[in-house]
Amino acid sequence: MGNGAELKDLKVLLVEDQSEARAMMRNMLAELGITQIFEAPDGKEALQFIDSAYEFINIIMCDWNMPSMNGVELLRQLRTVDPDMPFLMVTGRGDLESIVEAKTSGVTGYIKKPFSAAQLEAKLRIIVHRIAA
Amino acid sequence: MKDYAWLALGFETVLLVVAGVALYFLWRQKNKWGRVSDLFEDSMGMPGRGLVFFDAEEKFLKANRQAYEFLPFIHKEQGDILTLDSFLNYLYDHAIEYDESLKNAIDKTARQQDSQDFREVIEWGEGSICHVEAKKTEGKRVVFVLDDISDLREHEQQFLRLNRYSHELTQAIEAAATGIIISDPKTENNPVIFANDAFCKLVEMPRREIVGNDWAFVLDALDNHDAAQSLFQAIKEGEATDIEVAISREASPRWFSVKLTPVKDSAERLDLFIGIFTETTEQKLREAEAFQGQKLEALGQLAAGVAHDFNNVLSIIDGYVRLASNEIEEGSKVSDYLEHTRVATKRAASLTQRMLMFSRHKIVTQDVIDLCEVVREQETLLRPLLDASIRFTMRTPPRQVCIEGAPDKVGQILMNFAVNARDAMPDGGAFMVEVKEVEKEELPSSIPEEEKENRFACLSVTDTGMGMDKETLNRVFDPFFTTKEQGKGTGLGLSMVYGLVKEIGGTIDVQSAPGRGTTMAVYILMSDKEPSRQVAGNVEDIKNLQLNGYTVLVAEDEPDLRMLVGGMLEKLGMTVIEASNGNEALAKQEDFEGKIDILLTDVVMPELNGVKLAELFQSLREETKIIFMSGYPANGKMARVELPEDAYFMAKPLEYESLARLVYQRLRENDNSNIDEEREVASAHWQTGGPAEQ
Repeated sequence: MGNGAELKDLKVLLVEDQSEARAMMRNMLAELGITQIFEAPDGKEALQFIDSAYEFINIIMCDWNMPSMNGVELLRQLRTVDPDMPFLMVTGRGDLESIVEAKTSGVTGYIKKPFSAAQLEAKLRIIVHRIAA
Repeated sequence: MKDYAWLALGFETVLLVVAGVALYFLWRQKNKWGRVSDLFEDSMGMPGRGLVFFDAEEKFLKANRQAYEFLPFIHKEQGDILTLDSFLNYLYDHAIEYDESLKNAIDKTARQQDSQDFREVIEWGEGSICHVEAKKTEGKRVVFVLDDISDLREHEQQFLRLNRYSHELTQAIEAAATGIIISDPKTENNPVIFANDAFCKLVEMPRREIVGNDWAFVLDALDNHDAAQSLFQAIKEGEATDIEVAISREASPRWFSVKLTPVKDSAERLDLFIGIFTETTEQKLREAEAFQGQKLEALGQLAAGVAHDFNNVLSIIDGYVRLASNEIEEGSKVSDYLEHTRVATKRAASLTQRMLMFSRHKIVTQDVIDLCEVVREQETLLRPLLDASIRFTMRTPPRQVCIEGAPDKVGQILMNFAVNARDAMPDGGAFMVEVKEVEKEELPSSIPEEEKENRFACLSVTDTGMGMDKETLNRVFDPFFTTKEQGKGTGLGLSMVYGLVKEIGGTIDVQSAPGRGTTMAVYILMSDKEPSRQVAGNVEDIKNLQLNGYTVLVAEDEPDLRMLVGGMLEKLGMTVIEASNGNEALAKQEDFEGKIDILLTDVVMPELNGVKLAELFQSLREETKIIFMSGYPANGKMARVELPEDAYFMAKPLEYESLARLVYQRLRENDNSNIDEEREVASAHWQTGGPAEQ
């Protein structure tokens, strides 16, 4: 994405173990005009996707709390192969420690559940701005 | 024959007379030697007593074995002639000074004896002492009586030690904070024979009324019939007991641990009854507070857990409702239903938000604020919350009372207090808000002693309402606990207050009794620093208005204009963050950790317009107030973007004074979205003005 990038240019990989929540987020993204959305139910599949089809995505939106591999673990593994891929962490926790942990593990942004469409849009716009800058 | 018989009788009589005379002489003799021989006999039976005799010419006559032992020098002198004079010299040489107590002891033993001409205590052998007294006998002889009184001295000292010890013990018992009472079960009715000061104070009776009376009489003064009964029973049975009793003389009860111990003598007979009353009120209170804290902590965790999961569900519901309404024709019945569902979901979300406010107690670094000023600012908001029948008073000291905290938190605390007070006074009453600096003694016991050395501010509210009983008091901060009718309150108001108070590092204390109103006091550590946000001057003197410590974010795509506006706001003393477009404004707010008070945004901007930016911005920072600016008249024909109805708008070109006035006005508004009220309070949504002047 170059300068003047817009929300609709985002290509998102949604990582979330709960299917309803995943569907809900997909719909929210679609409402924002984002059409390229891929999904993975867990970290392992997400890593496989990134490994084999990274051209199809330019941002990862991932839930923190997942069984087997949580969001932070996924992010750490991702950073070993791709230090720049924008990563939006979705967290159910709003406490300071969690936010600090998310920030220090190299997220591009984080968003607290439950979030409104406006909050998601704002967070994505911040990421778009960061990528552009 | 007759003559012979008489003769015989006469002989007999003569014999009797002779015997009588002989006896008389013997008796006389005995009397004559009386004392001396007595003393000799005594000395035989009393091996500890030495005797030394001098004759009338003051020459040594005799000494018994014990005397030789006491005075070995007599042996040596025996060959020579030991005179009374040299003997006395010897005694004087060996005499010791003896103290008052020993003297008393000797006096006690010597009192039965005759007057003495000489009395001394001399030392003999190692550490042993001997009491010597001299007497003149009838035959002008002198007898010295020597007694080993080493034991006596030892005993006397021991006695003294005991005496002092018991004196000290008595004093200690008197001075003890523990109530101590002793009774004598050997006497009828088991009368009290001792009660210390603390006990007298405890039962609020003078000692003379306690000592001599029986237990029943004394225990009746305890104001706790059950406790008195069980104690009395234990005394009657002669059993040891250890119970805890609450004595509520006035509003606040005092707790005591009472230990009754029967003491038996060597023959296993009941000898004494000792009652020890130790006050445990403080400990009880601390335990209760710890329990309360733990309970609220647990409830907080529970609430937070529920809120999080519930929020997930809510966001799914909300998401699908949103999707469904996109698919449905606007204005149809189903779309109306969906709108209702969305409103309800929003309300549910605000409930969970309030639950979370109760559970998060993280103290984060906060600004220094003047509590007085913040509270005074709340006045205009509090008044409309209270009914007209409630008299509202506010008392703040004229000087600053600085604390570290956030003004909006203080506002939320006060508003929830006010709503609570209003509902406690359906028939009217009085409501007072007070700020003051408190003395150490006024601080509640829940504040640890070592912290009490610091300066504390107190923010309190008092109402003349119905008050609360103990049971309600214990649960007053529990989430969802409410005494209000269904639909009138969620039971989250005071829970939220509890969370907010914890967040500003405060301690809350509630005093209430049925029919006596309620005082809720928040104690907060005072700060030595100056408030970081200070408004100097006022709106009448706009040129000199200063809004130090407030932050404004300016979103404007025209660089010159951005700089100009930024300069004006900096002149007001504000911290200014500049952004050239919407996305940058969002990114800048994320990087800024403090509070952003105002977003001043251009309406028409490429990519993201001002209205959309305001919506997104407020979704992340609810508390930020928005001011739009535009070169087009607001909602005029030329405007490409429609402003929200209640928006505040500044027309370009901006004028310093009107900008300053509007910024000041918006800063003075308070947010009261976090009051525990289900019903709509019209005044809670009041606005200081509609869409602003252009």
